[in-house]
Amino acid sequence: MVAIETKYWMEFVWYVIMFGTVYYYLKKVERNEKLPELRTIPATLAIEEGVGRALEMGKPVHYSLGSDGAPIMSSSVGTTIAALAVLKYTTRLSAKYGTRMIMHLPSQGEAIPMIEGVIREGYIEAGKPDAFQRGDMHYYGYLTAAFSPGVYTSFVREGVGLFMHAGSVITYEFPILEAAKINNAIVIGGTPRWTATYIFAMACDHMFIGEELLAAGAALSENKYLTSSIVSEEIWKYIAVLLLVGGLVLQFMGIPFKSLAGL
Amino acid sequence: MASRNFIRRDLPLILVALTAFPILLNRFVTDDLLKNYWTTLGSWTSYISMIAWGLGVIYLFNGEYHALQMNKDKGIVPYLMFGILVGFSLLLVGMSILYADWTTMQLGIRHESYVWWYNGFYGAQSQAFYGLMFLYLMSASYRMLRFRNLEASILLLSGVIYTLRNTPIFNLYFPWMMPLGEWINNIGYTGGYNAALICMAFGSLLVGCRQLLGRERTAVEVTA
Repeated sequence: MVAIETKYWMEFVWYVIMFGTVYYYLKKVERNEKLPELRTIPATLAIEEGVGRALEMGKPVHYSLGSDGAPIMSSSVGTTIAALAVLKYTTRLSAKYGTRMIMHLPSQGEAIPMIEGVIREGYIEAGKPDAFQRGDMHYYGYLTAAFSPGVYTSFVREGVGLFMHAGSVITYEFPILEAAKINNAIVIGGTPRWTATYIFAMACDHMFIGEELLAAGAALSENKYLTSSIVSEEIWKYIAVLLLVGGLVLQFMGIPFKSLAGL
Repeated sequence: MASRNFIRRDLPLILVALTAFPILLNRFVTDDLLKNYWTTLGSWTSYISMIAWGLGVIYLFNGEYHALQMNKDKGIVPYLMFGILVGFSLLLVGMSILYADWTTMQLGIRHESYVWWYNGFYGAQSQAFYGLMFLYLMSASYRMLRFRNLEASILLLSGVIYTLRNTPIFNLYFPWMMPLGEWINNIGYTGGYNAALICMAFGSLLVGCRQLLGRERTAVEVTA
């Protein structure tokens, strides 16, 4: 028996607006029309600076998605995809400048082939497919207690010029951020997980604040289709502010906005 | 070549659309077929995840083996051998039918030998590292919480007021600290937290939209 859930009508309208705006801007790109100017995310500029510094110091670039930072079967999958886009960009830069890059793999075994594929793609795009070394992908198994000492040891053993730590990170990984700092590395990172945001504010030279990591994934891809979608997100934010203010005003006026919207 | 490109580039996107759209529809339409589809996919997620853990273990040992072969510094060999020894021991005891508990249908993971390995190595090291985190938090706080600029100064003052508001002596001599600390938490923090959370949700939804429309190709091989 098929029945429509009317109580979620607001959510449905929201989905239609979301897909509608993304589709609209994709079409704009196809028609070669001008898109609104987007601000540059400061942390993305710092990546090239960090890779260059690592090259000057003769030390490798380290990249980590977090100890359990690559979920591909939960609501955090968006973070994983964005972090992989940043990984591909970092790999491309490292390959271009000839800096060694060490990848600290997350515990999720199912994500490893995907991560390896993204790194290989980065080397291929830089025109140096032979520079890929599988031995520079380190796996530490399950949980942070195994991951953090492993990464720490790698910093001490191989040295660290730039440490990128971006993905679904948890607060328990703070020691490796601080360890990179102690070893004189430039530290860049961020997570859309709010509860772990503070560790980046404390230990990073440059950080992706909140959803900046998700936007950076598209911005660094140099793909117009992906960057156009960021414009849609800005429109959603304006709509959200309108709904918040409008809803407050209506509630004050005695109109039950909350129940009308099915919230 | 064309079939290879189809498998590597287009098939993943088609699979995502075939899986995601019915699940999205399940939210707005009540239908037994959709519900069954959702439940079955949920079970498959668990199966794939379990197999993937196994693959991760193989990858780990493979990595250790390659590190042994490639590393010129032979001083590292005892450490790598120790890692492999502990890993295999855990695996053998945990998977062994000799230690199986047939009443709960579990292999050796409840056996005292396994628990000893686990607590003796993993548990102790885990606690040590957890303790280390707080020391590092202290050193980072010392570096960060300073009167460097307006934002840093506000952060420092807010942190100090919020921390000291629960201290009896400060409550006694500075009674205004308690309501101010609560205000920082309930108004300042919660307002910023909600705004950040909404933006993060939008960012995540945007990645989902791009994937469903077949435009997000980060995880799809494009230079085949």
